[in-house]
Amino acid sequence: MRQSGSVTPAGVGTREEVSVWKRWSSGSKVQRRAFLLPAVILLLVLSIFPFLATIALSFGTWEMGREGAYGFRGLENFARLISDARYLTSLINTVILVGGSVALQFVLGLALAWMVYQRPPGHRFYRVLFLLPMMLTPVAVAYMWRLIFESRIGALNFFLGAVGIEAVPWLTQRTTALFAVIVVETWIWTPFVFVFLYAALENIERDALDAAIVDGANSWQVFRYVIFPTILPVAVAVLLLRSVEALKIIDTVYVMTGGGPGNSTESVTLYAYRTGLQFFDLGYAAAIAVTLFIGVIAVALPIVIRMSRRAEAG
Amino acid sequence: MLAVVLLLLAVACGPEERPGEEGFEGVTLRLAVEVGPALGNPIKPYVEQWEQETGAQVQFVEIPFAEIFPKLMSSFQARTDEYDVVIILPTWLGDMAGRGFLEPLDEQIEGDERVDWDDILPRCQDINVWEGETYIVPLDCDVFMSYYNRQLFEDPGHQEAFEERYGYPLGPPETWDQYRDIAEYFSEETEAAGAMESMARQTQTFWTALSRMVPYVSRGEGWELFFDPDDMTPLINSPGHVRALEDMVEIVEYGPSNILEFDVGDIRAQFPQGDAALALDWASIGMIPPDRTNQEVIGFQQIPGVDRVYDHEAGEWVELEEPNRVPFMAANGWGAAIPVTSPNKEAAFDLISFLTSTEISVQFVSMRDNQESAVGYQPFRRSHFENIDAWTESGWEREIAEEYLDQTLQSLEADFVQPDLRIPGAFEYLDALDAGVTSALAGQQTPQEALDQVAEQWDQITDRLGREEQLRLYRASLGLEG
Repeated sequence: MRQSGSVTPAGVGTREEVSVWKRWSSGSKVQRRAFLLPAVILLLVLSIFPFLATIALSFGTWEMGREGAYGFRGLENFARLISDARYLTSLINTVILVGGSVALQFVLGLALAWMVYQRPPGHRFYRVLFLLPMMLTPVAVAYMWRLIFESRIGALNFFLGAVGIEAVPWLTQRTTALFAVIVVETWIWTPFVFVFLYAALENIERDALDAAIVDGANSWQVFRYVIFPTILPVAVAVLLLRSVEALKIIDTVYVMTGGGPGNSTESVTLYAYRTGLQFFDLGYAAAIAVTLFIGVIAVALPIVIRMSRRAEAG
Repeated sequence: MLAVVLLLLAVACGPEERPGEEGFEGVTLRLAVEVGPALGNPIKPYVEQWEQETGAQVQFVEIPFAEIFPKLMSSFQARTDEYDVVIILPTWLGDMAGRGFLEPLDEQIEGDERVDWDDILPRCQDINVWEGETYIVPLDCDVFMSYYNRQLFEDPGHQEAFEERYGYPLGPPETWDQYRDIAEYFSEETEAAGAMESMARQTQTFWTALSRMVPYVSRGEGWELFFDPDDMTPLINSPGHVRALEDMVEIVEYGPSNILEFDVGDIRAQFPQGDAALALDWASIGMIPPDRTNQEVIGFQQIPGVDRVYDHEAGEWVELEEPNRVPFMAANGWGAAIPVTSPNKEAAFDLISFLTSTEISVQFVSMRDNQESAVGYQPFRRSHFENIDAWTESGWEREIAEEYLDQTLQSLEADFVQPDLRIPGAFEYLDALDAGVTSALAGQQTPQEALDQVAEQWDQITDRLGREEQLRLYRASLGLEG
């Protein structure tokens, strides 16, 4: 079959295929919509339906595997949340974990991106090396770090002991356990921030930097007035993506502390998981998930709107 | 003709075919069991043997401990056909059998010689019955034990110094007060830790705490540990329970520096090395053949008792002349059940009866041909306790085997043994207790505050699951009239 030399829609290469495509694209609206229907159905089934089901479930109870097991309870589940100390603790923990880890990831990711951007000797090697933590499974990483933080035989306390510092019970006190989880999350996800910011830095035109230097700008001024504004849209997008993802933290906490001691390091998602899939209180778990969703929207929406307006303003 | 006659004669004179040996070629069973050395690995050689005898195949679905209940329940509730045999705890019977997810097995048990139900200790039978029907065939029967370091206890120097300091001779602790004294003494006078107990969240900490609480509150009726059988009021924050948790918190100071990260796996690895004076665990530390452990260190006995008991009904402490020592069937013991969704129930029961049979079960409870450092299956048949030769065949010294079996049997056949909770929601009730206990151990709450919070949560769980129904099932689980 002879290949068409012209630019054609993706996946449409031959004359015959082009003519088929033309027939469809020049067809009626009904035809075109029918063509899109399978994708729309897939989207509805995989994404919209579970979302709506979760919303519906949050207003009731449901015992799986029993007919007629759904019971509407109005706002009962949400009212329960207000007086649920465990939920409030998990909410505070999640805010601490997200705030701490995303801030650290951003600072370290930017520093590493800047360092590699300067093209030091071996920068290609560093570029690959810095990506490695992100390639590993978070659960395996969490187990590795749990051993490092182990208070008696862990490597961290061994090194602290070598310089005369007393062993720290990293995973059995709330403050130190939250800190440990933040460290691990930072270790895993800093490469994600690094990749985006490095790509953004690489997109800066070198001429602009040279011009700023010729005009007498010092390093800080170059960063503040040339580099930072240029990478800002990417930085905001990265912060947004990481914050939304970090709000759903479960695996690292589950492996490192199990939410303990007590429930003092439990995250909202871990609490929702336990409530729904260990205690089978599915309605309440859905209500917890919905509040998390509202939290994510509350964080993301203003940023997305602002970015869209900036983009429209050019 | 002659060949046919000879063939018939050979068949007639051959060994009698056992039920279930007719062959299950082409059948593949899915067996859910806890992953690792305690439960999954020890039965694998025998499952292979069954495969060879029957022509069936078995796929192991190995699940971490904390995930077994949620994973199985998710599957059961969705009515999916995922498992043919599940190795579970009777603690979950309220949720699993109570909601019709498991197959009642009374008829099969009755007609199967290999199961030999009457050989199973009565207490190990009872825990597997739910509302009059048997759903689990035991592969294990649990009881918590107390361990002491024989080498340290037999040292004349320590004996003299201990008696001088505490005013009574050093020996295996009979009470929790003595346990505390011994832990304090050895943590201060030796390199060894005073005691090792499971104290980490999401491990076996709540069972350790309950084992300590039992003698402070239980006086032979069975209801005093969890709920008031009249109205389901939680009893978990009574003065007796609080006192037991205070004792446990005190031990943190005398344990290894990382005791708050300990689970039973750590204890099983470290206690036989002589790293502690005392330890609490199921009978698993004691039941390791001498070629794989340091039996010179391991001394074991029933868990300690108390000199005074809290009487819930009178609302006061009662002083006793003899220590109240009440063994606790923590977790009750692993056993095999068949989900109602299994399409291979006949083959599934055949595998279960093969594993629980006297001939096979004595091999895995005595760790024969098992190079693991611990096993999660403890003796549950009268014949396990009587057939000492089977234990010596597995590598045990006769004297040690006799002592171990004697101590375990004493616990299982004590006048009163406290069974574990078995009502619907048991997993959630015990998780709430786990959170409270670990919070107190970490010093985040006082024992009273922690247990008050647990009691509050237990009330909420009961209300959500339906107080009337929970009360009915709780009374039924205790053998009380509705």
